[in-house]
Amino acid sequence: MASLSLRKINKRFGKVHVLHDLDLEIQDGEFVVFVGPSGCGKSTLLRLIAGLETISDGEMRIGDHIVNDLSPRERGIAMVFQSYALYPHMSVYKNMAFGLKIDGQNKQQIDQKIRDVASKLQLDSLLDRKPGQLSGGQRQRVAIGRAIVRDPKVFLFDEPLSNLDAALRLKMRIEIARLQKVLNTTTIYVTHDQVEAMTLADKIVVMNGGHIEQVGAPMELYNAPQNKFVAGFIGSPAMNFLVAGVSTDNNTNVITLANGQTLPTQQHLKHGTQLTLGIRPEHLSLYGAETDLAIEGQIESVERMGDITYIYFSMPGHDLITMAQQGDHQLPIGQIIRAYAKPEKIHLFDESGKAIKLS
Amino acid sequence: MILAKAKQPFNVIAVHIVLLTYTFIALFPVFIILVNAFKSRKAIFNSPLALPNADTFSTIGFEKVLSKADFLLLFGNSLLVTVVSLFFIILFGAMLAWALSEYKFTGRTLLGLFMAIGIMIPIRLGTVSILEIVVALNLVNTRTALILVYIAQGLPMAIFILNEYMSQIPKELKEAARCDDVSEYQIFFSIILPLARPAIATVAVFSMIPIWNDLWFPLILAPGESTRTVTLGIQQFIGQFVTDWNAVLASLTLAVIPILLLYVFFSKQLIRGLTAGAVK
Ligand SMILES: Nc1ncnc2c1ncn2[C@@H]1O[C@H](COP(=O)(O)OP(=O)(O)O)[C@@H](O)[C@H]1O
Ligand SMILES: [Mg+2]
Repeated sequence: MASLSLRKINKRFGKVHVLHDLDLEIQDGEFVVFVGPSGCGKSTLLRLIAGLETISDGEMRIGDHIVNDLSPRERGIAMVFQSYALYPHMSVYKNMAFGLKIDGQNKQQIDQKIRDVASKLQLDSLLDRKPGQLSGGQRQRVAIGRAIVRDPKVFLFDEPLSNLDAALRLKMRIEIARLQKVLNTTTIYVTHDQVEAMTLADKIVVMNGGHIEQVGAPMELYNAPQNKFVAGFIGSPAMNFLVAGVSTDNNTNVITLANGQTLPTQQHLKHGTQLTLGIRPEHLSLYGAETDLAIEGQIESVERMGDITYIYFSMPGHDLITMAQQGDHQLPIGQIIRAYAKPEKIHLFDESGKAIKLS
Repeated sequence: MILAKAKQPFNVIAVHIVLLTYTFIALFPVFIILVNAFKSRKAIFNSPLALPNADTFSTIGFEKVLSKADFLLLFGNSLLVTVVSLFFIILFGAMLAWALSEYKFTGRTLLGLFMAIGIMIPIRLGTVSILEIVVALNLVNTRTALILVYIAQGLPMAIFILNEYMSQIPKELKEAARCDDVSEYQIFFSIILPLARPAIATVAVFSMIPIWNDLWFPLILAPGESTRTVTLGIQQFIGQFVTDWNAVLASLTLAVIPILLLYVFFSKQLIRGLTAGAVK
């Protein structure tokens, strides 16, 4: 069993408090992705789990054992680093064999394992090369191979794809996903790229400033973000935010936009409350019904991809609003455009950024 | 690298002139020694700058030196003292440099500073105390005394160079090794030392020449017949009234050979380390 459980985990570097009271449960065989902006503490959390940093406060279990004071190997983890961290003076074969030899496994056994993993990762022909003679993608595969031969209870990846070019990143992403399904080993994967998070994860942990903002399946986070941060972070292009308020209309509360439009709500919101209204670019449309929310602005820029068109328009008092339209649309810059959104696709956040149900 | 960057031919020429001048100045004494080692005594005094020709060519100096019974002993002593000192300078220097760059312990800064002071203050200032210690340890006239002093002399610079280099080895490599359950000693010997090879070669080259050439400590600590080094041994040809220049120049010429071989060996390591680098 390699489930993982974190209770009230804290990490301080001297006076700097980096992680605050983190609680997290990870099931056996689950693919968990930590995602968040740079500097939010993802790597630190991963290194705490690995045993490369000491936990300042809190309790961590792998399976049924408290592992706070165990070494990385005793925890049964294997880690893949962003810089690959291959031993530069050893061949690919020796890189993979090194840890196993230290373990005292016999030569034949080691050889068997390495050939096995090498064929899985198409490294057969590279076994005699030094890391310096490999391309970025090959190094990445060696690093993954080195982790797999250890047969760990938990795989840890720290931004493994961020040094690769876009095409290779896509390929390796698919390969990692496939491998994890085959091996069915509990995996924790750190990235700042929400696309990687969405595509790889069974469960995403969104972090910000040393706190966990939300934990959930990718679609859960997409459809029902619990706060404005998660809403803005998950989804690409990012969600648009509109300024809104609450006013009274015929004795019922309505949500009012800056342009005077109103939306009915069943929530008991106080008159005068400041709200933020969120709409994803893909939920804005050039066409809509009477009941839809409609906003207007001047087109600033149009990006035509062929299959999809991104339209950026300005509204006074707001950042540029992004709209994603299927298909190719030729629209002149400077034109006034009207965009519609279905009420059920609208997200609402209170002053503290917490999500509110609209109906 | 510098040459490749300097695009204007003027710069290239200027750089070459400076380098060639320096090379000339540095090599000139060596050239004089080599040339005169193969000349007769008369020719040395008559025309010290001339190349040996059919008339003046003579190997009398080499014959004299090689016929001396203690010649091999002198070389053996020098080589032993140099190689053993180098070995320990590199071993202890690398270990200490690694500890200073990797581990946080109380007194780390102080220890680093203490070692840095060793670079600035010449060890010869402490000759009297060193002699007292050597006497107290009953090590007078032993090669051990020389080796101990040379290790102390070489360590500060070795630590300085290696520490600088080791702190640039990516942290992830050590962490990857720790995830592989590699012990701290194994990390040092099978990862850090091989990676630090270029720096080690640099340290070796820097440390070995002062040791090989030293006259001071052999004279004071180990002047005995059986423990003499080459530099000290050559002194027997230099008399108060007559100096056997043939023998002196011949033994100096011979003395260059071992150190040259060592140098070639280490600079190969240096270059191999640089090209096989790829610490990425
Ligand atoms: N060894 C350290 N000493 C002090 N502060 C650190 C150390 N490691 C990380 N930090 C701080 O912790 C915060 C989180 O870092 P990190 O976990 O690397 O972020 P992320 O991986 O999410 O980009 C950063 O503000 C960083 O400056
Ligand atoms: Mg990081």
